[in-house]
This record gives sequence, structure tokens and C-alpha cells, in this order.
Amino acid sequence: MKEHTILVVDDQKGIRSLITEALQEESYQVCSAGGGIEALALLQKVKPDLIILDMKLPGMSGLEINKEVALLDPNIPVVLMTAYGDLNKINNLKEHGIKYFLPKPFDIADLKKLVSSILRPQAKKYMLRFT
Amino acid sequence: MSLIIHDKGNKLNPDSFTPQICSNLVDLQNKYNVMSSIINSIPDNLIAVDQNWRIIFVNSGARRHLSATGQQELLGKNLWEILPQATEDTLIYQSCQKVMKDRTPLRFEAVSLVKPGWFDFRVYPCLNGIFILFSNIDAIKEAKAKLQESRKLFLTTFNASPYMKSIISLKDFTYIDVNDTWVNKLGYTRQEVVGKHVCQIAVMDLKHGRKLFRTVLRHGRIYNEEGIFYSKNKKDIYQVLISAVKTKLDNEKIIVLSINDITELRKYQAEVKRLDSLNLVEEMASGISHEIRNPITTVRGFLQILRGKEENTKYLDYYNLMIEELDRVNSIITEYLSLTKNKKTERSLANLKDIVENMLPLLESDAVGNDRCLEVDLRQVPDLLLDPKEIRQLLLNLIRNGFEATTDGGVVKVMTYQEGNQVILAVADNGCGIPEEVRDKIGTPFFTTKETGTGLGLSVCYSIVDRHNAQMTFDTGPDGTTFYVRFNLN
Repeated sequence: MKEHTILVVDDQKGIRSLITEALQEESYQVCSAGGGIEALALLQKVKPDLIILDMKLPGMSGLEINKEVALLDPNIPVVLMTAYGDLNKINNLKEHGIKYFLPKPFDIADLKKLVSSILRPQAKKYMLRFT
Repeated sequence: MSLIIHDKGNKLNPDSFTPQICSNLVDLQNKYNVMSSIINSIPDNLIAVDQNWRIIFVNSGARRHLSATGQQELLGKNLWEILPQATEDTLIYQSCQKVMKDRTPLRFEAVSLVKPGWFDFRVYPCLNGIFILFSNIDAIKEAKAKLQESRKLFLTTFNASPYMKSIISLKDFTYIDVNDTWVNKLGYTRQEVVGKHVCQIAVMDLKHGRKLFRTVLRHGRIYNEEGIFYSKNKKDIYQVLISAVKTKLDNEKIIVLSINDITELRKYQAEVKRLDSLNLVEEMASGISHEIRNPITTVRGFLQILRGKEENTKYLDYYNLMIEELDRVNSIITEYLSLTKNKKTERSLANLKDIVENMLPLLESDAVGNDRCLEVDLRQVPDLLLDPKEIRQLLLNLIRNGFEATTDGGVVKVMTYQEGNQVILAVADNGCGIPEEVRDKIGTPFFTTKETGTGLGLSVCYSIVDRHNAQMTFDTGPDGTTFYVRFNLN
């Protein structure tokens, strides 16, 4: 079974290593980027199955990166993280085509659950094909 | 013009006169000429008649008026024969008859029976007959009408003005007039004010009033001077801008005052200022919470990961405690700093009295812990659209403020009641009141008088009240402060 690759984009080193650590425990392959340019370069190289993206980033914002991702590969699911508790901002996210949202601070269990719920249906299909 | 000498109807021959008589006659003739030239040159028209209404004199103006070429044409004729238009029912006829009979002068205005236009008639008894002086007054009439019009226009603009206006005589400092806005706002009747000395009508502080008057007298005017005006019952207090100008009315020196009520404007300005600072707080709160939540996420996440490791099982309680504490930090940020004005409230139909009652155990323990006393007077009130979580926060902040405003043994009283179309939540303390100099700043974020205050408690209250479309006001004095939150019933 191919391991899913997840790209984490956050300017905070602590968040990057936390998510990496937590998801590696679940046997995902995780790579991370601290900003938009780096993230888009990695995107071409590693072809991730899921991107976890912080909303507030220096340079390109999370929403701008999301737009680029949608142009390059519209099938990659994106989870947007934010420390803003603002409900209005969350509502706007739907207009940007973002389906998954992770408010900071989050529970590690919730993060794992969210990731597997996004990637599991694909895994099921994959498994079905081989059984 | 020459004199013809008559003696009982017979013409006398001048050749038979002695030189003395001749000299007297010449003298008389000269005097007659002077008199008639004076009478002919006056702008008024003059007709004199004897007791039988025979014309004995007309001046040139009257001749022109009657379209006669010479005096001779009219002399000796009966007045009413040459004026057939003056029938018995006309004012001219009746007035002349009256003067002839009563021998007292009369004056009246009438339209001429001969030519178009209004005339001023003066009829005087003279010898056995009367004389009539009359002059055209069309120009005066027109000027009077114009004056009337302009007076009407003045009164309309005077009374329709949204400013309070008054006119004061500088001769004795009495009110000449006040406009409708003045009367309506200050609660006096016009009769109470007109003719009274300015000091008798206490609409403003006497000392300030005197100072303003002195300035107007010295400089001729004042423009937009700030002041305070009081209504008759002293219940309405207006913040005003006073403008005044010294001028003249019918040769009398006066002051015209124009008073602009800016009470509402000032209230709005204060409100806008408060909202502006709330917006600033919103941005700051958002920024701060973002910056704090990132490290919380990392620390909390790693604690969670470490907690799951087998070798750390013995520290499970500590890990849980640390995670709980971090969650508390986050909830403080969320609850306390989320002043966001545009935050959507989750309002549902709830009862204010029930919310307060449910909080009583918590509030009472808070009171006991602080050595304060909590009193409640909760009346039944209709349900309202409320966000119970926010109302609890509002109540808690107001009550804690009350506790902090009082000394040991102080009493804070919570009340709910209905007043007309409003449901009211009131929190009263028996502290020392809010000092006057800080009253304007109440509700300004980060403004605090307490050593350990954040200056956000009442800001949070104001923003919660705003989100509920309610209003919060306070009464304060040496016996304590009461905050009222008024919710509107739809």
C-alpha cells in the first residue's frame, strides 16, 4: 500500500514539526514548507495527496497558495488552518472552494481523524481494486 | 392773481379809494399772493368750501386732480355738483358732512372718486365751512405692504429655524421675542418670556451668560461659542453652540441670538469615538489571539504526543493538567478578547430573569469570596432574543465592577423588570460613584481606574449590548452607580 504524502505549509517551525511528528505516527509521509514559493516548488516535486495550509503566511497568503494549487492540480484536497476565530472569515472560505478547516489550537486526535477521513475513501477504493 | 373788492355783493370802484386804503389794499394783495403761492406749492391737494358747499379755494394740485384748467372754473361752484360721484353712501361725502356738522377734524384713507389710487384725506373745519387736504398714498401703501410681506417672511424663517432664536433689547436687556424652537425646547411659553429681563429666565449659567453678553457688546458678535442651556424644569440640559450679533430694530439696539443644540451630535461623536476604539481593539484582539494561538498549538500538540508515549504514563495527570491549562488560556483569549463588533451572536428566544437566576450560585459565591453582599430583585419579564453566553458575560462583568467599586460589606443589587416596551437589566452598587472626570471615558477599551484592570470589562459589555441592539446607560453619584441595560421588545 502506497503511503500518502502530506504537504504541511506553515511559517511557524513548531507547528510544522508538530504536524509532521503527529502524522508520521500514523504512517503518512510528511514534507513541509515555510512559505508559498517553497510550497509550490515541493508541490511539483512530491505530488502530495493532501495539503495542510496555514491561512496567515508571510508573502503569499494561504488563500493565494490555494488558488495556485487549484490551477496546478484541482484534485488535491486542501485543509486550511487558522488561528483567527472569526466566523465570517470561515464562511468566506467556502467561497474560495475550501472544504476542510482546522482551527488553531487543535487537538492532535482531531487532526488525525480529519486527515484520515479525507484520505480514507481513496484508500478504500485502492484497496478494493486489489482485493 | 388779483383781488376783487366786494361790498355786500356789489363791486366797488377802486378809483374812489383814498391813498391810505390803496396802500393797504396793495399790502393785502401782496400777502394774498404769498399765501396762495405757498398753498399752491404744497404737494397736498386742497379744496376749501363755505357752509353751503360752495368752493372758495382750490390749490393747483386739487385743480389738476379735478382736471380743471383754472381756479375761476371751480370757484363758487357747489362741491357735490362737480363731484357727482360722491354719492351719499361714500365715505368722502359722509366724512365731510360730519366735519361740517361737528366741527372736529377727521382723517381717513379712501380711493379717489376721480382718479385711480389711494388717498389720505384730512378734513378740517375752517371759518363757517371746511377744507379738505388730500394726497396720494399709493407709494406708502405699497411700501407698507412690502414691509408686511418682509415681516411675514422674517417671522416664518424665525420660527421655522431649527435653531433656538431670541431677540433681546440692549436698552433694558429684556426679551423682545423668541422663536418656536426656543419655546418648544426650553419649555417656557412666549408670554412668560417676552418683556422679561434675561436674568429672570434662567436658561443658562448667569456668569457665563454675562461673559457672552460682554463679548457681544465689545466685538459686535460671537460665533459658535460652546455653552449649556437648561429647560424651565431644569430636566433637559442641552449642549449648545451660541452665536449672537448686535444690530438695530426700529432704532433700538438689540442682540439676536442663535442657539444650535448639539447634544445629540456630541452623543453621536462620543459613540463614534467609542466604536472606533472598539474597531481598533477588534484588530488588536485578532492579531494577539493569532500570535498566541500558534505557540499554544505547538506546545499543546507535543504535550499530547508525549502523553501518549508509554514511558510517560506515570506523568499522565501532569500532562492532562498542562493541556487543560493551555485550553484555559485559549478560552480566555476567545472569551475575553473577542470584542469583534461583527461577530455573529447566536441569539435565541430566552428569558433574562432565568439566565440571571441560573447564575446566582456562581455570583453569590463570588460575592462571599469578596466579602460583598448580593441582592436580587428579579421581576417576571417577557422572553427576548438573547445570546445567553454573552448575557452571562455581561452580567458577570457588571457585577464584578460593582464589587470592585464597593468596599468590604458593600452591596450590589441585580434587578430585572419591564418598563413599557423595554426589558431592563439593572446592576446597582453602593460604592462611591464614578468620578466626573472619567465618566466620558467609561467603555473606552483599555481605560481602567483599577490597578490590575485590563480596561476591557465595560468595553466587552458595550459591545455585547450593541450586538443585542440594546442600550446601556448609567446613573452615578456619591451613593453609588447603577448600570441599566435596556433591551427592546419587538
